[in-house]
Amino acid sequence: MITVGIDIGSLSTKSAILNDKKEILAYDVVFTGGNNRQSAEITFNNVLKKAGLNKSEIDLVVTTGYGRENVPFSDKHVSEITCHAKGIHLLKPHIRTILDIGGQDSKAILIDKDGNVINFMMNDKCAAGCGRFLEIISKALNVKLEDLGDISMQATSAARISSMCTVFAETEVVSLVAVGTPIPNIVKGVHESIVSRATSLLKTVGITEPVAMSGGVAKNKGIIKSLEDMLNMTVEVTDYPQVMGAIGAAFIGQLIGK
Amino acid sequence: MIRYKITDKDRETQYQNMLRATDNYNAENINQVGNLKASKIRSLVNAYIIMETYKNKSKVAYAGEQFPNEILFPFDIRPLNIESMAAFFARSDAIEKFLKVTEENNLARDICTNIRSSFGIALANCYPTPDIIMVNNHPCDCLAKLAYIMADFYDKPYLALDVPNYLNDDSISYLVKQFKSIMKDIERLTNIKYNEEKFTKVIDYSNQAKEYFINTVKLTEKYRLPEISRELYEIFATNPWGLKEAVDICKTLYEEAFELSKKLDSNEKWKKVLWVGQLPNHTFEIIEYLEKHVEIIYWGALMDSNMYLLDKEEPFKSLAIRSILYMWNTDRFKKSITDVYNRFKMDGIIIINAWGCRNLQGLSQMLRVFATENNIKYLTIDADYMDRNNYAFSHVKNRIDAFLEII
Repeated sequence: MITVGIDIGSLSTKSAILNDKKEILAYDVVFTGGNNRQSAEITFNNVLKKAGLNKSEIDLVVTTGYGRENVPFSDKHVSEITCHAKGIHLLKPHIRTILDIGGQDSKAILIDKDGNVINFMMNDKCAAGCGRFLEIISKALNVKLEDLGDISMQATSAARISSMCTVFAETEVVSLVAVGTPIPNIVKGVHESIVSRATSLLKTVGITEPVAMSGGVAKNKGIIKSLEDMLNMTVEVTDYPQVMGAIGAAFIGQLIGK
Repeated sequence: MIRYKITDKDRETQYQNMLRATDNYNAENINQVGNLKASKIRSLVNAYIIMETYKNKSKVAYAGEQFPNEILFPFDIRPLNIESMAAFFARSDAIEKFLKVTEENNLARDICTNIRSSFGIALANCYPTPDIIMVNNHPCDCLAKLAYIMADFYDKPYLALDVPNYLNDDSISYLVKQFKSIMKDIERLTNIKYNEEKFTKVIDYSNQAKEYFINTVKLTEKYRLPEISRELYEIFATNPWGLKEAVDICKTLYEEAFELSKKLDSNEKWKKVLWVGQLPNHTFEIIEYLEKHVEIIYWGALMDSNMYLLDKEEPFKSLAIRSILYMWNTDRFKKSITDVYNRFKMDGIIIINAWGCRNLQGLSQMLRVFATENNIKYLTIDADYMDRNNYAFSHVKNRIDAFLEII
């Protein structure tokens, strides 16, 4: 049985293909843009091409993410909280707490030994603390989003970013640049600001080790470092943090197929 | 300091102001309150009572939420819960005009929207001028402060009941003394003589209605009756105890529930969730969405105070007990929720954090800890039923879906 998971997020749309041995045959990431139905179709075609498959060979498509209900070829849609839980459980079954930071929200998820969600908390009132926040800050600092992790490693100290609002934080960052604060220190400060909010979220669900992080922001090693320092514990990341929701959706497809 | 004063206190003018503000709301369409006959009667009775409060000859008291209105009816005083009336306005676009008035008058947007919209309606001079303002300090101190400010707006006397948190002999006796004193104050301020015979009748009506109410609750425990559950909450929110019409409403609801239950299988299994917090309009999207998937039981209607009958021999003592039971005491809150959760065989709890409500936000934290300790699945939703600037369904839908998947 071959299943496809598609995670239509606010910033990017991800897809993954799983076979009945629960092996990841291929995955793909595209920008969501203004038409999430179209982005789902594009990534679906991309991932099929990468796996060397055609549509008729797919048994089930499970969608997740904010655009999950807007995909005409979806067989089932599931919230990304459940999908991230199942995705992490598939690849790292020992994990009990997940921090997922996506484009526009962050979630702390507590799971049991079978990958079922026991409890979760979400922060979705403001993009501060999420991927969109990093994107805006990288633009304000004129550095690449994917370079933020490396840049933060050069910091001698962390600038204090006190704001809880993306727009105000951007103003704060611009002010720090204006007074000559080194960019690495600002970036580290931004990371600590995000991690500070994330740890509060994790504590509300009750952190049970081992802890893993998923979502696109988990690709930023500066964030992982700050998170480990603040929690004083190891934070595991899979090889595909950004695609965990899609992998989880495909895995749910496999479970349904059973 | 700017002091607001209502200068034109003529109720006819205020009535016209109210009509103009709600011009887009089709109050004549009784079917929008739901399919139940009891809901339609309640809606008509409410409309009648509100209309009466705008008549210059009426004696009107602003009364706080779950104020023991039984003490007002013997004086032929019409209680008006201005916060509930703000919730009524929230069903029309008028609420936006009222909220705008508050912003133009420097009221912070962080204030509880129920309170803020009540201010807005008063500032727009759409409430009927009260003769007297009565308030109790539950469920929140903000309401007591609102009442105090309203007394200043309208330059009217203000009487407050200080309801203790804990139920014991001292607290009951403390409240009974206040009731007896407040009855004399009402006599003095309104020049209306207290009529004991009327009071006895009011207590009797209150109990008759409550008995039907309690029997209806028992039916909802056994059968899936979502509309009935919602109407129980609406009746509780209307606080009609002591009115003859309340007996008719509750009797009709019980009869409808009984007839509906005969057609249902008590073994039919739907997932049940306990809704803790305020209930918005039944067409509110969260409710509509949830009702497609689960049966909602509204805790507000099932509080111990709503299951309590008054003692005809000691009416003030029993009113005192009921008032204290209504206080959101943390220990009672947990006990009551546990009891309802188990009796109704719930699958989870949804806690509603209304915008700016310190009371609920404090309690919801306690409830989260309690739910975790007792292995109860729960969901916290931040919502604002009145000010759409503070809430969007798309923000909460994701967590609702995840919660539904968990249960």
